[in-house]
Formats: sequence, C-alpha cells, structure tokens
Amino acid sequence: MSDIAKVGYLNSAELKEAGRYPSQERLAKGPVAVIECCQNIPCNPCETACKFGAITVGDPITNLPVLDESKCIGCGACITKCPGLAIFVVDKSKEMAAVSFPFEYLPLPQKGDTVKAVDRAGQYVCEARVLRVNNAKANDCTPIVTIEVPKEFSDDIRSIRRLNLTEDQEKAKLLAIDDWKEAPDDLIVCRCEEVTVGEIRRAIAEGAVTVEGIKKRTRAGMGLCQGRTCSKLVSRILSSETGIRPEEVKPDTARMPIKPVAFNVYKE
Amino acid sequence: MSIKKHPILGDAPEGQQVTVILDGVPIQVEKGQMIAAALLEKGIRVNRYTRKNHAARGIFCGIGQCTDCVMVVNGQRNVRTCITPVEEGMVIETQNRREEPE
Repeated sequence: MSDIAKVGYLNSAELKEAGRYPSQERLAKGPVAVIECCQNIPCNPCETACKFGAITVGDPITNLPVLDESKCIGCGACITKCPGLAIFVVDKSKEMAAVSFPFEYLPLPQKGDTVKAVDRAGQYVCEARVLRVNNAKANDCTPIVTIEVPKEFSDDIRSIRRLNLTEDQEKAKLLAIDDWKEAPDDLIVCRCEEVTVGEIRRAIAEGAVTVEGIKKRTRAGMGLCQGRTCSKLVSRILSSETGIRPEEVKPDTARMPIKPVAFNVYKE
Repeated sequence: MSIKKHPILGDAPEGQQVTVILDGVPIQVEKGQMIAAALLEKGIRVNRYTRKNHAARGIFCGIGQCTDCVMVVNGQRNVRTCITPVEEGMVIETQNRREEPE
C-alpha cells in the first residue's frame, strides 16, 4: 500500500491489485463488505462482529482481515465495530449502486436528502441521494449512512461532505509544508518574538546557516515558548533557502526549564 | 462555542457557573473550563498584546506549548490560560494592554 504512506488515504486500484477488494461479480450480486484495513495492528473486532464467519483475522492478531465474499451477506454489522471506521458495504446489484459508510458527525442527513458524495481524499465526486440512516442502539453511536451513487463511482465514494461546513471551510486548503519559497515576507514564524519569514531570510543572507545562528540574529526562539513553535519552521526555511538537507540542519540548543517558570520561584 | 451535543458522547451536562473578573469586569463562566476556553465562549479572542508591535494574540496551539494565550492571572504574569482552569473569584487581566506599564 504505497499511496497511503504518501498521501494518507488508500486508492481503490491498489486495493484491487492487492486482492483486498471484493470481485466485481460478487458486487453485482448484492451488498458485500469492503474491508479497507491496511495496518497490521493487533485488532480483531470485525472478526467477532461477523455472525456468518465471513471475516478472518486469525493468528497472529496483527493479520489484516480477510473477507470470504461467498459467506458475506452485506448486513453491515462489521461497519460500526471497526475502530478505524475502515469497513464499508457496496451493492452494485441495481441500476444505481448503494454505498454504506460510518458517519460520526452531526447533523446527520435524513432519508431522501441530496448530499455531496466524496472520495477517500474527501474530494467532491457527485450529488447523491440518502437511502437510509441507521442509528440503531446496536450501532453504539456510530450511525451508518447509505447513499445511492452511479456505479462507476461506487468503488471510490466513501463518505459525504459534512452538512454544517460553510463554503469557505469547504475550500480551505493548508499551505503545503515545504512550500517556504512561496511564503510571503510578512508571515510570522516566531510568534513570541514576532519574527517574520523576511527577517529570517535576511539573517540567512547575512550568513546564518544554523537554527542557532538565526536565533542569535533575530531572537526567533528566544521568547516565552523557547522555540517550541518556531524552531522546526526555522529549520525548514533554512533548508529550503540554503539547500542544506533537512536532517543536516543543526538544531538550536535546548536547555532547562522545559516550561515557563517565574524567576522568584528560584529565589524562594 | 462549546460542544453541547456530541455524536458519540451525547448531550453535555448542565455546567456549574463561577464568577471571574476580567479586566475589572465580573463575568459568569462555566466551571471546569480552561480560562482561554471560557473566554472564547464569551467571544473574547484577545488574551494578550505583543511587546514589539502591540499586536493582538489569542489561542494558537491550545495545549500549553506556544504561550500565545498567556494572561495576568491573580497578579501573576505569563500564565498559560489554555491549560489553567477557571476558579471562583479569579482576577484575570489582558497582558500588555496599553494602560499597563511594560
């Protein structure tokens, strides 16, 4: 599973290649569980949740679960029992496919609502109609939402957009971690001493090649928090501005105390 | 602002109120909250001003690491309010307000 390590979510092509996705023939027959578990952690509630013996983890308990697709009836009992919320039920037996997934967010959608279906990355795919919302007591507060989507998207749609997000929040995007070349000069890096990206760039131009060197020129890291927030950022800027490899950037000198202490504590 | 209804934990229990004095004004806040959280719930987002540019600062990390939310609590400066619970009668002041000599 290389993609999850790179981007943080699975892709269905990799799952299929690894033989961990139900066959298209089985999916066409009716609902079946899709187990998207990719971490060898000691965990087996899915195995005990299945009354039909369709899921096997076995020994050692760190095995990935294996689904016997002929035994699975697609009841979805395993969906709410997976602590990682990694199990889904897909049904491609009708003209439109149905995808069931766990949805632990408020507000819950209602049956018949039109919602925005998203893929594993949380990206919008298409509009979908809500077929069922199952929040039975046995689910133990993990509601299962079932939506109707076109068949061609049903291997990728895995959730819906939350219903209380504003449009701004939907569009919100984080600055990529290593995008320091793009960072504006007035962006504050050291929040305690109010040191900006521009000041750090000037310190580098003056010849600073270590976090300590930047600290002595700009005071970045000498404020109340003692560099807890900024020293990692400073070393990334150093690395992107000078080309020094990130692991070779010399850190600043960390000293006691590890949390702010008033001077008169020492006096007493 | 605080979560009154949670998908897993259900409805929040009714909280007890305590009175704290913020910059000389008594306000009612919920017991058990951290100072910064209690103030945020009242719509107060500025906990201190910086020394250099006198720029407003408030909650940033929220876990006691960044010291952005420090305030003067019962006369003690630089108290990290995001990890300090409110207490009855606590005197809280915005740090480095203009009136305050530095």
